Amino acid sequence: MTTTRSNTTRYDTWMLKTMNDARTKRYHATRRARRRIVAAHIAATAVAAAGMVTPLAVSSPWPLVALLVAGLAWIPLMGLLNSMTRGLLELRPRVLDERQLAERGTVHALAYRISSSVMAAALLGFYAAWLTGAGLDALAAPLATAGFGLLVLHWLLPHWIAALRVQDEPEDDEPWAAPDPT
Amino acid sequence: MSEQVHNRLAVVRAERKVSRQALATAVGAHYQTIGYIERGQYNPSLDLALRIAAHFRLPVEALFSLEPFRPLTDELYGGPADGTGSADDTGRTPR
Repeated sequence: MTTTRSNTTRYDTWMLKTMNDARTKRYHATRRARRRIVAAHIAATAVAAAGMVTPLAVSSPWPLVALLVAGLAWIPLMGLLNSMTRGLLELRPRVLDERQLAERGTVHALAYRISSSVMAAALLGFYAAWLTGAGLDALAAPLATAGFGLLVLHWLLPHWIAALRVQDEPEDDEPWAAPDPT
Repeated sequence: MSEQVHNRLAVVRAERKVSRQALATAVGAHYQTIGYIERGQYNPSLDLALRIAAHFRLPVEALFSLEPFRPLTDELYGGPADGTGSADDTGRTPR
Protein backbone atom coordinates (compact mmCIF):
# COMPACT_ATOMS: atom_id res chain seq x y z
CA MET A 1 0.00 0.00 0.00
CA THR A 2 1.32 3.41 -0.84
CA THR A 3 0.35 6.67 0.73
CA THR A 4 -3.01 8.24 0.04
CA ARG A 5 -1.83 11.81 -0.08
CA SER A 6 -5.08 13.01 -1.67
CA ASN A 7 -6.78 12.80 1.73
CA THR A 8 -4.22 14.93 3.50
CA THR A 9 -5.16 18.10 5.32
CA ARG A 10 -3.10 21.25 5.59
CA TYR A 11 -2.10 20.12 9.07
CA ASP A 12 -0.87 16.79 7.64
CA THR A 13 1.15 18.58 5.01
CA TRP A 14 2.68 20.95 7.56
CA MET A 15 3.52 18.11 9.93
CA LEU A 16 5.03 16.05 7.11
CA LYS A 17 7.21 18.98 6.06
CA THR A 18 8.24 19.67 9.65
CA MET A 19 9.12 16.06 10.41
CA ASN A 20 11.19 15.83 7.21
CA ASP A 21 13.02 19.11 7.71
CA ALA A 22 16.55 18.57 6.44
CA ARG A 23 18.12 21.20 8.70
CA THR A 24 18.48 18.78 11.61
CA LYS A 25 19.85 15.90 9.51
CA ARG A 26 23.46 16.56 10.41
CA TYR A 27 22.78 16.16 14.13
CA HIS A 28 21.71 12.53 13.76
CA ALA A 29 23.47 11.38 10.61
CA THR A 30 25.42 8.58 12.32
CA ARG A 31 24.35 5.68 14.49
CA ARG A 32 26.61 6.94 17.27
CA ALA A 33 24.98 10.36 17.25
CA ARG A 34 21.52 8.80 17.31
CA ARG A 35 22.44 6.62 20.27
CA ARG A 36 23.74 9.64 22.15
CA ILE A 37 20.55 11.56 21.49
CA VAL A 38 18.41 8.64 22.67
CA ALA A 39 20.56 8.27 25.80
CA ALA A 40 20.31 12.00 26.50
CA HIS A 41 16.55 11.88 26.00
CA ILE A 42 16.19 8.94 28.38
CA ALA A 43 18.29 10.79 30.97
CA ALA A 44 16.30 14.02 30.56
CA THR A 45 13.05 12.07 30.85
CA ALA A 46 14.25 10.31 34.01
CA VAL A 47 15.31 13.58 35.64
CA ALA A 48 12.10 15.34 34.64
CA ALA A 49 9.96 12.46 35.89
CA ALA A 50 11.88 12.40 39.17
CA GLY A 51 11.42 16.17 39.40
CA MET A 52 7.67 15.71 39.04
CA VAL A 53 7.33 12.91 41.57
CA THR A 54 9.82 13.99 44.27
CA PRO A 55 7.96 17.15 45.41
CA LEU A 56 5.16 14.87 46.61
CA ALA A 57 7.51 13.59 49.32
CA VAL A 58 10.10 16.35 49.76
CA SER A 59 9.42 20.04 50.32
CA SER A 60 12.47 21.34 48.49
CA PRO A 61 12.57 23.58 45.42
CA TRP A 62 15.40 21.61 43.83
CA PRO A 63 13.24 18.92 42.24
CA LEU A 64 11.27 21.63 40.47
CA VAL A 65 14.50 23.23 39.27
CA ALA A 66 15.63 19.85 37.98
CA LEU A 67 12.25 19.42 36.27
CA LEU A 68 12.59 22.82 34.58
CA VAL A 69 16.16 22.23 33.39
CA ALA A 70 15.44 18.69 32.20
CA GLY A 71 12.28 19.91 30.49
CA LEU A 72 14.22 22.55 28.59
CA ALA A 73 16.62 19.88 27.34
CA TRP A 74 13.83 17.38 26.72
CA ILE A 75 11.92 19.47 24.17
CA PRO A 76 14.67 19.83 21.53
CA LEU A 77 15.76 16.24 22.13
CA MET A 78 12.20 15.08 21.42
CA GLY A 79 12.32 17.14 18.25
CA LEU A 80 15.50 15.38 17.22
CA LEU A 81 13.91 11.99 17.87
CA ASN A 82 11.00 12.91 15.63
CA SER A 83 13.37 14.27 13.02
CA MET A 84 15.52 11.15 12.89
CA THR A 85 12.44 8.90 12.56
CA ARG A 86 10.85 11.30 10.05
CA GLY A 87 7.77 11.53 12.24
CA LEU A 88 7.16 7.80 12.16
CA LEU A 89 5.10 7.88 15.36
CA GLU A 90 3.72 11.40 15.14
CA LEU A 91 2.35 11.59 11.62
CA ARG A 92 -1.07 10.28 10.71
CA PRO A 93 -1.06 6.93 8.92
CA ARG A 94 -2.42 8.45 5.73
CA VAL A 95 0.81 10.38 5.13
CA LEU A 96 3.07 7.40 5.79
CA ASP A 97 3.98 4.93 3.09
CA GLU A 98 3.81 1.15 3.34
CA ARG A 99 7.36 0.72 4.66
CA GLN A 100 6.84 3.36 7.32
CA LEU A 101 3.55 1.78 8.38
CA ALA A 102 5.24 -1.62 8.61
CA GLU A 103 8.09 -0.10 10.62
CA ARG A 104 5.63 1.61 12.92
CA GLY A 105 3.91 -1.72 13.53
CA THR A 106 7.24 -3.40 14.30
CA VAL A 107 8.22 -0.62 16.69
CA HIS A 108 4.90 -0.79 18.53
CA ALA A 109 5.12 -4.58 18.76
CA LEU A 110 8.61 -4.40 20.28
CA ALA A 111 7.57 -1.65 22.69
CA TYR A 112 4.48 -3.63 23.70
CA ARG A 113 6.62 -6.67 24.48
CA ILE A 114 9.09 -4.69 26.59
CA SER A 115 6.53 -2.59 28.45
CA SER A 116 4.45 -5.71 29.17
CA SER A 117 7.50 -7.33 30.74
CA VAL A 118 8.23 -4.23 32.83
CA MET A 119 4.59 -4.05 33.99
CA ALA A 120 4.61 -7.73 34.91
CA ALA A 121 7.86 -7.25 36.86
CA ALA A 122 6.39 -4.25 38.70
CA LEU A 123 3.24 -6.20 39.52
CA LEU A 124 5.27 -9.13 40.84
CA GLY A 125 7.39 -6.72 42.88
CA PHE A 126 4.36 -5.18 44.55
CA TYR A 127 2.82 -8.61 45.10
CA ALA A 128 6.04 -9.76 46.78
CA ALA A 129 6.06 -6.62 48.94
CA TRP A 130 2.46 -7.28 49.95
CA LEU A 131 3.31 -10.90 50.83
CA THR A 132 6.09 -9.69 53.12
CA GLY A 133 3.56 -7.64 55.07
CA ALA A 134 3.73 -4.19 53.47
CA GLY A 135 0.41 -2.42 53.83
CA LEU A 136 -1.40 -0.34 51.28
CA ASP A 137 -0.36 2.85 53.10
CA ALA A 138 3.31 1.96 52.74
CA LEU A 139 2.86 0.98 49.11
CA ALA A 140 0.79 3.98 48.03
CA ALA A 141 3.72 6.22 47.11
CA PRO A 142 5.69 3.46 45.31
CA LEU A 143 2.51 2.44 43.48
CA ALA A 144 1.87 5.99 42.29
CA THR A 145 5.52 6.41 41.26
CA ALA A 146 5.59 3.10 39.44
CA GLY A 147 2.31 3.88 37.71
CA PHE A 148 3.63 7.24 36.55
CA GLY A 149 6.89 5.68 35.42
CA LEU A 150 5.06 3.02 33.44
CA LEU A 151 2.91 5.66 31.79
CA VAL A 152 6.02 7.56 30.71
CA LEU A 153 7.62 4.32 29.50
CA HIS A 154 4.49 3.38 27.56
CA TRP A 155 4.51 6.81 25.92
CA LEU A 156 8.18 7.17 25.04
CA LEU A 157 9.53 3.65 24.56
CA PRO A 158 8.29 3.43 20.94
CA HIS A 159 10.14 6.67 20.15
CA TRP A 160 13.38 5.33 21.61
CA ILE A 161 13.06 2.03 19.78
CA ALA A 162 12.20 3.74 16.49
CA ALA A 163 15.17 6.08 16.83
CA LEU A 164 17.56 3.21 17.55
CA ARG A 165 16.30 1.29 14.51
CA VAL A 166 16.98 4.15 12.09
CA GLN A 167 19.71 3.31 9.59
CA ASP A 168 22.31 5.56 8.05
CA GLU A 169 21.26 7.13 4.80
CA PRO A 170 23.55 6.40 1.85
CA GLU A 171 25.69 9.12 0.37
CA ASP A 172 23.99 11.08 -2.34
CA ASP A 173 24.85 9.29 -5.58
CA GLU A 174 22.72 11.48 -7.75
CA PRO A 175 24.87 14.30 -9.07
CA TRP A 176 22.24 15.05 -11.72
CA ALA A 177 19.45 15.39 -9.19
CA ALA A 178 18.49 18.44 -7.22
CA PRO A 179 19.09 18.13 -3.47
CA ASP A 180 16.27 16.48 -1.58
CA PRO A 181 13.94 19.17 -0.29
CA THR A 182 13.27 17.13 2.84
CA MET B 1 7.89 -17.60 0.43
CA SER B 2 11.10 -16.03 -0.75
CA GLU B 3 12.45 -13.35 1.54
CA GLN B 4 14.88 -12.15 -1.08
CA VAL B 5 13.65 -10.00 -3.91
CA HIS B 6 16.35 -8.84 -6.26
CA ASN B 7 15.98 -5.58 -8.09
CA ARG B 8 17.82 -3.35 -10.49
CA LEU B 9 16.00 -0.21 -9.46
CA ALA B 10 19.19 1.74 -8.75
CA VAL B 11 20.57 0.93 -12.19
CA VAL B 12 17.40 1.91 -14.01
CA ARG B 13 16.92 5.02 -11.90
CA ALA B 14 20.46 6.17 -12.64
CA GLU B 15 20.09 5.41 -16.32
CA ARG B 16 16.87 7.43 -16.50
CA LYS B 17 18.34 10.16 -14.27
CA VAL B 18 15.45 10.05 -11.84
CA SER B 19 16.23 11.08 -8.27
CA ARG B 20 14.97 9.11 -5.29
CA GLN B 21 12.82 12.07 -4.33
CA ALA B 22 11.27 12.37 -7.79
CA LEU B 23 10.54 8.65 -7.97
CA ALA B 24 9.15 8.64 -4.43
CA THR B 25 6.82 11.53 -5.23
CA ALA B 26 5.68 9.86 -8.43
CA VAL B 27 4.80 6.55 -6.76
CA GLY B 28 3.49 7.95 -3.47
CA ALA B 29 6.26 6.74 -1.21
CA HIS B 30 8.85 8.32 1.07
CA TYR B 31 12.21 8.95 -0.58
CA GLN B 32 13.91 6.85 2.10
CA THR B 33 11.75 3.91 1.08
CA ILE B 34 13.23 4.01 -2.42
CA GLY B 35 16.69 3.75 -0.85
CA TYR B 36 15.57 0.88 1.38
CA ILE B 37 14.24 -0.98 -1.67
CA GLU B 38 17.43 -0.38 -3.64
CA ARG B 39 19.56 -1.69 -0.79
CA GLY B 40 17.33 -4.74 -0.34
CA GLN B 41 16.33 -3.69 3.16
CA TYR B 42 12.68 -3.59 2.22
CA ASN B 43 10.66 -5.62 -0.26
CA PRO B 44 7.93 -3.49 -1.83
CA SER B 45 4.35 -4.63 -2.02
CA LEU B 46 2.98 -5.70 -5.38
CA ASP B 47 1.13 -2.40 -5.53
CA LEU B 48 4.28 -0.33 -5.05
CA ALA B 49 6.37 -2.55 -7.35
CA LEU B 50 3.79 -2.13 -10.11
CA ARG B 51 3.68 1.63 -9.58
CA ILE B 52 7.45 1.83 -9.86
CA ALA B 53 7.46 -0.33 -12.98
CA ALA B 54 4.68 1.77 -14.50
CA HIS B 55 6.63 4.94 -13.78
CA PHE B 56 9.55 3.63 -15.82
CA ARG B 57 7.19 2.08 -18.42
CA LEU B 58 8.80 -1.29 -17.85
CA PRO B 59 7.34 -4.68 -17.01
CA VAL B 60 7.66 -5.37 -13.31
CA GLU B 61 9.90 -8.37 -13.96
CA ALA B 62 12.44 -6.02 -15.57
CA LEU B 63 12.90 -4.38 -12.18
CA PHE B 64 12.14 -7.08 -9.63
CA SER B 65 12.95 -10.77 -9.61
CA LEU B 66 13.17 -13.69 -7.24
CA GLU B 67 16.38 -14.71 -9.04
CA PRO B 68 19.52 -12.57 -9.24
CA PHE B 69 19.70 -10.42 -12.35
CA ARG B 70 22.41 -11.02 -14.93
CA PRO B 71 24.76 -8.09 -15.43
CA LEU B 72 23.37 -5.71 -18.03
CA THR B 73 26.59 -5.94 -20.01
CA ASP B 74 26.12 -9.70 -20.28
CA GLU B 75 22.56 -9.22 -21.48
CA LEU B 76 23.59 -6.61 -24.05
CA TYR B 77 26.82 -8.07 -25.33
CA GLY B 78 26.50 -11.69 -24.42
CA GLY B 79 28.29 -13.51 -21.69
CA PRO B 80 27.80 -16.10 -19.02
CA ALA B 81 24.13 -17.05 -18.88
CA ASP B 82 24.38 -19.13 -15.75
CA GLY B 83 23.13 -16.39 -13.47
CA THR B 84 26.38 -16.19 -11.54
CA GLY B 85 27.10 -12.59 -12.47
CA SER B 86 28.36 -10.06 -10.03
CA ALA B 87 25.71 -8.98 -7.59
CA ASP B 88 26.91 -5.39 -7.54
CA ASP B 89 26.64 -5.05 -11.28
CA THR B 90 23.04 -6.13 -11.30
CA GLY B 91 21.70 -4.01 -8.53
CA ARG B 92 21.02 -7.22 -6.63
CA THR B 93 19.95 -6.33 -3.17
CA PRO B 94 20.15 -9.28 -0.81
CA ARG B 95 18.04 -8.99 2.27
